[in-house]
Amino acid sequence: MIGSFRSDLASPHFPIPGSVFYVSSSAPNASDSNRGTTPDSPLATIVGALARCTANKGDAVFCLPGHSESYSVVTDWAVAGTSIIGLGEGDDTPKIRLLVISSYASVVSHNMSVENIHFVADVTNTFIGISVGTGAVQSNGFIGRRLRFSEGDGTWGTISQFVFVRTSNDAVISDCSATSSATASKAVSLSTCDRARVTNCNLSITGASGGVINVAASNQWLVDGCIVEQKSTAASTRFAIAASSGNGFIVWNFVSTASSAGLAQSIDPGTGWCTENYATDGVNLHGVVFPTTAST
Amino acid sequence: MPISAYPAGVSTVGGLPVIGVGPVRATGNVFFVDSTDSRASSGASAGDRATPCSTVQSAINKCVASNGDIIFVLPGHTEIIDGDINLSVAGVTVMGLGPGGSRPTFDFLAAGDTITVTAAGCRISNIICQLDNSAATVTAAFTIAANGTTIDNCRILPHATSQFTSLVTLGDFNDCIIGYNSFYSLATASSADGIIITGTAERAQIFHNVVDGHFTNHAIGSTAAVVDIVIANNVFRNANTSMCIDMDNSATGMAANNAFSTGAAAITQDTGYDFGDLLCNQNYMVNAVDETGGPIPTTAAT
Repeated sequence: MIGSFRSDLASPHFPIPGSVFYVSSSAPNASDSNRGTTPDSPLATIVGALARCTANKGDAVFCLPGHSESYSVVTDWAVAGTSIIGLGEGDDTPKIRLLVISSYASVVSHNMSVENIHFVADVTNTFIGISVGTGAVQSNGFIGRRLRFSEGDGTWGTISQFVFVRTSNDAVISDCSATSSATASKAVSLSTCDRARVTNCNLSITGASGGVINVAASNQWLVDGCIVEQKSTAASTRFAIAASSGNGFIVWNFVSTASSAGLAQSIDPGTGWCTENYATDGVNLHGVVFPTTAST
Repeated sequence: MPISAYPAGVSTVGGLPVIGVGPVRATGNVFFVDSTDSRASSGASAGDRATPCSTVQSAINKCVASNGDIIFVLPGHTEIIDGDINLSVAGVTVMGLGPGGSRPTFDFLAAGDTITVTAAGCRISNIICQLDNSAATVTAAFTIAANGTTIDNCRILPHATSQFTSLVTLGDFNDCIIGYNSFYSLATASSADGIIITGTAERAQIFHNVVDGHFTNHAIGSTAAVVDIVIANNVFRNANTSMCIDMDNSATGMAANNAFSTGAAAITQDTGYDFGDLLCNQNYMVNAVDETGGPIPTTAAT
């Protein structure tokens, strides 16, 4: 009974009330001079499409299967209330290739939604995949869904944060995945983000500090339903999930740690509360509930 | 209203593109509400895309009962509720559009203001209720007073210094669904209830919600003997020292796979929780940092 309702109400795809623009790098006639209102005459870049969007009207940018574009600078996505939606699956998922260490997509308007985009590190020590807010600029109400982060011709760096949300409330990061063979820093980093939620993500990196999912100075946040692998063998400050001050809830996650310190490095809830999180620190071992002390 | 073709595999419902078939099954009239449109009016407008209604109530008044009518409320729409919105036409769906905080927003001004559902089979989806313009304490954001009501993908937010006394109130009405919502009150100052059921509602389903606040009574509870309720896959957080779930002693149904927290000193029956006569599976409750939630009720079936 529950499942039948889940399929109906859980759909995130409400109708799009605004204008729709198409982006495709693979179309021979793609150009940011096109109107972009049909897939037969698409725009060439997301920024080109955003330039045609109207803020807060529910406009959407559809990136067609196989679309790929490269960033060499910090590239602002700055039209409030706009959705950027990749179409296509697997290798056809639209890609943002990051060519310079400090090049990334920067969401600097409120209530933007980004879905089904693959961010690829094409330079050694890539810094950020997608930034939400800048600290000075708030970008409240961000939704990142089905974002993928991986290595291409480069690697993520030791101070990298694949998703970096700063001073921006009500963010939702869901159904995202991240992998890194080199030492990266954090997969999802939230700083001063009240009511943020990280849910149903699959993250596997060798973290350099804090948590693979890291929450700082935020309230009423929720991390739930994630699979998090912390591959660092360091004995301290390398957690799968870490939080500091502020109240929140860590629920229903499965995590692992390779730390020489064992399970103590799996979850650091800070002042957050935990329920039904399982942690393991080795092969041929079954995970146990962590923290190990049960409330009474 | 049929689903029609749109470029690149995108469909449309009511002229609006969706990916796949979307969450809408429109069969009747489609109306639009948009306070940001200079052409909008509450009286004579047709409620179509070119001349939208300026308020949800004016669109409701145009709907035909049990006809599958849909009211699309456009992004950026803001509406001051000074009185009630009454969803009084059976079978109507009110659906907000837009991502994140660009969803339509309803600001409540005074204590008695609420969004009430008084006709059967209605749905409210994807809107934000908040107290952004008023520091008044408001009794309830949603008041469900009809059978078959669905509230999904909505968000309730407090004012910086005030909040709703109860976030959602469900009376003696059957077959209601509250799903995929995020309801918040203040983290450190008390409201009374998150979701409160005041009547002997039958077959209510409450699933996949986040209810987070500082509640004098509880994050979810009933004061009447609800029948066959399902409470599943929710996260309920009560920062206060009161119970997190408190069901009437004669309430029946099942609570499964919920995560609870409470500031109560002890996780025991009538201190941290009271499931009434509900059957329970895989519910956990925590009351301190650096601890993990234990199963509740604390006694295992044998």
